[in-house]
Amino acid sequence: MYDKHILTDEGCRSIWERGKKVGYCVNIKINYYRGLPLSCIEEIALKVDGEEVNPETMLVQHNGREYRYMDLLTDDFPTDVYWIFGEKLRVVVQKEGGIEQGRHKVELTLKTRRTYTPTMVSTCEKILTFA
Amino acid sequence: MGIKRGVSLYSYQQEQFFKRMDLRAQIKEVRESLNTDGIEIIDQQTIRDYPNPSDEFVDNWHALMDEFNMKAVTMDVYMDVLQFRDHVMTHDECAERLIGDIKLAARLGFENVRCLSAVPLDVMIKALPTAEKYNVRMGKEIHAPNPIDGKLVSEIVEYVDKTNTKFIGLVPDMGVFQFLPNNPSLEWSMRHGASREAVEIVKKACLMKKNEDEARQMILEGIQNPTDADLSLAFQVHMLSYSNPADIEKLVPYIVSIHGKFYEMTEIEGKPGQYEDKSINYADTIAALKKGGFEGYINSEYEGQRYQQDRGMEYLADEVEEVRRHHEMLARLIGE
Repeated sequence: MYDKHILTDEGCRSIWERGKKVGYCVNIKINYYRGLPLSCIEEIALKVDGEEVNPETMLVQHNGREYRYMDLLTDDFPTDVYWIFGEKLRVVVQKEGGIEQGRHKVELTLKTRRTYTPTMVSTCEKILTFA
Repeated sequence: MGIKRGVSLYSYQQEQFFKRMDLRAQIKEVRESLNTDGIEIIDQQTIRDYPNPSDEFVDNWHALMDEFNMKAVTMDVYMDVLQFRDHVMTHDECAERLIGDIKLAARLGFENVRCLSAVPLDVMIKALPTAEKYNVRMGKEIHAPNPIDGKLVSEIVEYVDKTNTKFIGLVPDMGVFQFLPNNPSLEWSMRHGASREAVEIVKKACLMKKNEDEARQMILEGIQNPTDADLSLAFQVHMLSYSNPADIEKLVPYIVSIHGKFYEMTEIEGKPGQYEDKSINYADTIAALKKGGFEGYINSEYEGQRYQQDRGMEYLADEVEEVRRHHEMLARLIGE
């Protein structure tokens, strides 16, 4: 659901810390008609310019909080923290040097676990402009 | 009195997704363009910070509902039985969830909660004391491909007859009276490799009330070298309930509210300004509801948008216009 629109073209940029680029981010939306607990995320996989992003370098920011992506996948992650429908979830990739300003091909695979239908696998590919 | 009209804000999900309509704009549209008051919501779509919304959200909700003089009819609740990564929720965990949702519905002023078709009756019975205490009715959704005369309905009817409870009932979805695949989904299939010939065969199979295997056979016999996309159209047949609209008349005492499912409203030939959904039998169903004395809400549940999200923004469905057309039809069939 919403597959073509889950990778937004808003807020793509390098992230700076103390004068150095330490990573970059993209903003994604949920592939469903309602919000789900973050514990229902099965996978967020990114490819940038054809190269797979190491999931261990990813952070997830949503509704004022930040989590290590790998923590979302653990059994004891709380179930009452929701990915709000229609609201962006920022995926931060920690990478020295960030990303070069300009256009990059980004491929997203998003898998969310559902109640009454099988896990929804959505893919979205876009050329995004990074600041 | 008579049948009342409302809208499930599910219908405006795409407007919300793209941030073109906020909650206020959605409620204003129902009041000012549709001239009615019924509001239904999906908890996890509309309630910010579900399951624990802030007092600020709740205050703002009540202020909006008061400002436009609206009625909170039904809140659609889920269970997400797979939310724990390491186990499927037990019935007790499900009941706990439902109890929390009933309290939240009461906090927002809703009269009813809608439980999914798959929720076992014993889970609803566990939540019954809470429903009574908070004066919130629970309705089990009867959704295609379940029929209106099947076990899901009969077990509720039997339980209600035995106990005389007012707090358990039915939320029939108009999709059970669908008799043809909806056009937007067929157009989607044709953009993704199905042929018009296969689509016509499947429509014929539906009108002949064939099952999925028979429909698949008809495609194999009717088309030389059918593609996978052609053959997968047979699943459309599987999704139809083939329910008889007349059967809803006797269920009226058990109905909590109705989901006015629809996919595409097109102008009726020779009747400018009058609309219909060519895949769902609203006319006979509303006639049966009137005969049965139904005085509750039919809440529009527009679902055609999801079949039009595979292309660019310029091809997205116009949810607002679709719901306006749906209410032209509802008001006309109800006889307002």
